[in-house]
Amino acid sequence: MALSEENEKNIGLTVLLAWLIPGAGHWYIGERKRAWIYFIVITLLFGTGIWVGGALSTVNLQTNTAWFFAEIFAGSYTLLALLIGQLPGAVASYGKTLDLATIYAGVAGLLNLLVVLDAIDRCHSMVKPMSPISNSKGARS
Amino acid sequence: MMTIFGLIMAMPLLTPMLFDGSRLWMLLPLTLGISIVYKATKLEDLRALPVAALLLWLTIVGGMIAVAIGLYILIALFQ
Repeated sequence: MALSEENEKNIGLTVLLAWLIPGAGHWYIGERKRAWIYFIVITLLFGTGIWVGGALSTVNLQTNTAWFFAEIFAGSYTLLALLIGQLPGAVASYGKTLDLATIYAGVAGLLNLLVVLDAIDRCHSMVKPMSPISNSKGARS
Repeated sequence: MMTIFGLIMAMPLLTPMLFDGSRLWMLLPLTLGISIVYKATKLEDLRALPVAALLLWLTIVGGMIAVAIGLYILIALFQ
């Protein structure tokens, strides 16, 4: 138990970091490789969405309300996109382009929600005594 | 004053791309990303990730193709 207390991490900070920057929560709890995977994949997906549709229309609470609630889970990326969308020169997108952009950014946000939940789960399992959560194939139950 | 860095970084984020082609091809990188993240949450040993993610990706793409073919046949039958 002494070992697990030494390794105990602040769960609130883990959630905040995981929400703000994809993978940062895992980095904080010591899962560095996993953190890099989450960071690269989610950044590429969200970046593709904003690149394709532009920040103004892709992340927009007024015109794209339902997708906005998926995108908000990408944390700082969504906030950054909201700020970029307010810059002069930002152009709105429509139709196929907007559909594709919102799907990419929304899926990136929802994947980051999964990553946040995974970080919480791993943070909890760090403070508990070791339990047999893995099966013979190395997959979690 | 707009710097070169500003042009490279800001313009693509401010101006949408013209997207005339089929969107279906964009499904492939999206589902690959979903497969990688999902499998990374499930696997304890990340050395198994490439194969597991690839198999999941092929399953998703294959499943969607099967659904598309099924719907195409269904529509063709009842038209």
